Amino acid sequence: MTSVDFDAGAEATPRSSKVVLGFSDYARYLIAVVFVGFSLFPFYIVLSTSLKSESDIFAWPPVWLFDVTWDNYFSALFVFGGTGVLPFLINSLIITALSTLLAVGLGSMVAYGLTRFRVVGGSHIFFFILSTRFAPPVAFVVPIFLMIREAGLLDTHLALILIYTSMNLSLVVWIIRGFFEAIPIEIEEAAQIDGYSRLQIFRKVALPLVKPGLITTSILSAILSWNEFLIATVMTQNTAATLPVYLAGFSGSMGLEWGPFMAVGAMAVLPIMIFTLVLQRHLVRGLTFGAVR
Amino acid sequence: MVDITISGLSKSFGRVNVFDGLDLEVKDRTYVCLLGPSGCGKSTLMRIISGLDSADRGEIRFDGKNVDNLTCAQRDVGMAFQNYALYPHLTVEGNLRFPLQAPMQKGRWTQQEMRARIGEIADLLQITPLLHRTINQLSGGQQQRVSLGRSLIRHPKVLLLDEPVTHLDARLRYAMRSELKRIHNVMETTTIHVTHDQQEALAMADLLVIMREGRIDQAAPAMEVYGDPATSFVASFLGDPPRSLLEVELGETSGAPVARINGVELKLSGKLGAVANAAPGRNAILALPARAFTAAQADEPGAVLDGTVRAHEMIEGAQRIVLDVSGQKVNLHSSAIRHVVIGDRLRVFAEASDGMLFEGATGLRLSAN
Repeated sequence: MTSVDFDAGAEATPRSSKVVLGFSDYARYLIAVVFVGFSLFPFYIVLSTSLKSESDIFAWPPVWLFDVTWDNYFSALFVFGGTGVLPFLINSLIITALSTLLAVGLGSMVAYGLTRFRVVGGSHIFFFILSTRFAPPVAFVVPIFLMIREAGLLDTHLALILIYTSMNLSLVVWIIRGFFEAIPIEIEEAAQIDGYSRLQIFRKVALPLVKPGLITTSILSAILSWNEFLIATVMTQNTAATLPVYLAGFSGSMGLEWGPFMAVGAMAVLPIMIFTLVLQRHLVRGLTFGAVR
Repeated sequence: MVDITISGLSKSFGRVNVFDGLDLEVKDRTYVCLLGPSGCGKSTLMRIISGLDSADRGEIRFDGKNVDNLTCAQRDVGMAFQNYALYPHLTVEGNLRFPLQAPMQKGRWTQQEMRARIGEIADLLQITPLLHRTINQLSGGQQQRVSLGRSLIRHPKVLLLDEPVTHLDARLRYAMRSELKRIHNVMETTTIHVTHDQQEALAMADLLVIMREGRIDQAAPAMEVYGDPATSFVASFLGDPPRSLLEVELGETSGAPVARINGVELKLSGKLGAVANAAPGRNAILALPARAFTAAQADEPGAVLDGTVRAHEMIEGAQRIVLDVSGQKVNLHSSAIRHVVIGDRLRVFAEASDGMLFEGATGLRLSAN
């Protein structure tokens, strides 16, 4: 049998393990550290404040070392506002999960259809899809509000799910399109020869090959839905209100309860962070590499 | 395991006519090679046979049954693609299993039968140790085997190979040739192999089909196509180096048939003379193999063609020279090596006895009767 094997070890050249850093390297690291610090500082404030007692929160100069207390989390979860954060957390989870699922599911189908079938004005349709994101959302709020009200969907999960899905759809279509275009058409033709229908090819060949794209867009869609405030605050009051709406509600007439406020803020970050970290592990790059020469 | 009949096949992309009224007959179990320069329509023809593309007019029959409205899977064809097109998200075994698991095949094979079949094909292609590897862990040659295995696993009626070995290095390509023939002998599947490599085609084909600009110039057993080309294109396409085509005028000098080229006369003897006699005064094309030319010494008398060196190279101890003889290309192959540089003037003798004559206008072979 003939086979071509590469001796991987042969090319490895001995390298000094000492890495010498020059001045420009230090400068680069310094800039990176400053930038990362600047980005993460607000998050540090949220986290530390949520763990401080009230007297520590308002202490001046700020206390860097303090006695950790979980009281803020307790009151945020069970005491504050009677019901606590839990229903809003659940609303956010439901709305984010379903709208992400719908946006990625429908978006990948749209992208596939537009890349693989000859559609009249296909590229115009792509542009049109993206153009739905050109205007600032605030411009759409009133018309959407009227539509939702007429449909009797005010303060329902469905309203936010539909709106977020349509908002994220354009993003998904645009990103996934590039992934589908990168799949050599012969791979799908091979499946066609093997007796698979279009829909089966989509499910069993095309989708697995764009998995990195699906993961990327899932993360982006989820973050956008999770953090969306403007539309959520207009369309929902109570039953379907999401975490950002609840957070905003803290600044009531009674003054701001900083401790529980920050505790909710910290908790709001957690689910989406876990989601992103878990999915990111499956981001295998270059899956199609080597399939085609 | 099927006879293929193609009749009156026409296909155009927009305003470009790929082919117009193509006919071809392929007997059961034949190994067919479609050979032609790029863009001659050979790949398109194969895609139409597979069912991936459809023809504008004409029909394709498998065993006399029209398959025009059948899908690829219903036609029961297997196809190996030029770029292998393996499923990168599956292992080698997954790739081989994929065709068997197609929903339309549901219930046709049990898990055990599938395993048996995968084992059998893997043995045949000698890829058993690779079954659990992923596709990007394979070398080009291994991928090619897997791709071949995937196309064979259903035991299709027709096997279509689109330049299956083009991307392999020369040594592997050579090895795969005999492999393909061996597999064909075992599977006995009617096979259509598209290639632009004449050596590959000549070595493998039972039926060699030469295509040019959407037409079939000749479809015959390989040795017949090589030794008895039907058109001047076929004559010049085959052979390494390829035969040279010279535009000549047929005539007679003191009763003997001659071919005149640039005022020089080449004697045509024997069969060729009879052919020339049948068409006196005609413009014709004389195809001559490279060995028919011998380079002359500086001012050796009697040399007939006067040309300029356009290219030269050394291959396996022999010298090849491409000459420009007043606009016509002449290929020279000689084991007597001489020093030349591009642009040199070179005179050559031409020996016409191994030549063939074709009609000037149509390129069709001229015969004595």
